[in-house]
Amino acid sequence: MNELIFYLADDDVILGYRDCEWTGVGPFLEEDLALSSIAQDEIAHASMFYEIIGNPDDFVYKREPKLFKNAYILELENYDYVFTLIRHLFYDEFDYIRISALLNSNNYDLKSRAEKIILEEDYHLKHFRVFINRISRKEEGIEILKQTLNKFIFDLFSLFETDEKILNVYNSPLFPISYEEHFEKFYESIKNQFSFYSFPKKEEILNYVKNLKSSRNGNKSEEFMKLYMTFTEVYRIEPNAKW
Amino acid sequence: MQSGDLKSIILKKISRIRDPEIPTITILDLGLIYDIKIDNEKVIVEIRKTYSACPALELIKLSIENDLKEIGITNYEVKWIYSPPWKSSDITPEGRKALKDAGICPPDEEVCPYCNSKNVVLQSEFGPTKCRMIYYCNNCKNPFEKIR
Repeated sequence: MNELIFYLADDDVILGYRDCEWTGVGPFLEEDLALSSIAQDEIAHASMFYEIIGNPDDFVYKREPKLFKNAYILELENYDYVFTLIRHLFYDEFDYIRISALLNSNNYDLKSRAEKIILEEDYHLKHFRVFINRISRKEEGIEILKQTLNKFIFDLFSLFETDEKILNVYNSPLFPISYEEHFEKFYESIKNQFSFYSFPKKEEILNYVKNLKSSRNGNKSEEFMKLYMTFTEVYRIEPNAKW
Repeated sequence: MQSGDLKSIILKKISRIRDPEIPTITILDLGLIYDIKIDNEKVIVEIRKTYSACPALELIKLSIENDLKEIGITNYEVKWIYSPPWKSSDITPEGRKALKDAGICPPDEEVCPYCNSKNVVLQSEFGPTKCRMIYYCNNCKNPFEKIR
């Protein structure tokens, strides 16, 4: 159970913190509000998962960096808004399949939370799909999207990095979907969203992520460490304070 | 005391708690109170979240706990229930009216709360709080909020 919770919640909380960094400096007011709202959701979803196995604060503020199971792409800095949008759409497509699988979990805590979360993920997904779709209506927009995709394409698939523990959570009554099915569904939907882009072949990507020993394996980037020091900063000032 | 009596006392008391962000509406009319159970003398109040990240929720939970203490209950738990998930259609007719009084359009209709015109347009799916979207009324030229 713990492995599955960390697999689900660590992604949410790390991306949620990155999203927060756009609050007040988004590209336009409505999008600023939207992303701030989505950030709140991601962090809340993480919290809902952590509370199944303990106190959410303990997992976020007291765990060592290498114990966070998040994907490499989610810890990277925001760079620009195009990167933020593409990363978010990749993640939301990836996560939506996980949450959908949890709807069939035999565990009530997971299943009931999934029922709640999926309603919110629905409109996140819609938001990013519409946004990317609008950008790609013009040749200029397609070029901008392509540039970012070219630069990060394999990093984006680091969502599918695994270690032994993560592989073990798949295909169980708790999380009834196989890794292969998850990848297959993801690959198809992401190809649909970026129909103008020629993605690497499935085999090539799977081979890449199979050998990847990055963030999900505990090898944290400098960017993660900076983020970690930021989100634990207030906690570290007075660890036992009750806020 | 019969457990049925106790339940109705609790319900009557906590029904009066208002949404901290929209004070015209009670948590009963919002559809947040799911069930009150009494199990081996322990009172369990089951409540639902409107939106997972709504910051008002903890305040509501605290208000319920305070109410239970005021009634003299010491053995209690206020518990979040996720299934079936809360939907905006759980808002009662009284609740819908209370929202309109606060200048907020209830869910499942697109009517300006100021002039009742249907000539309105969605401006942003994301409003000032988790549960509200922003609309604009082409008739009276007022922006207004609508429950998602």
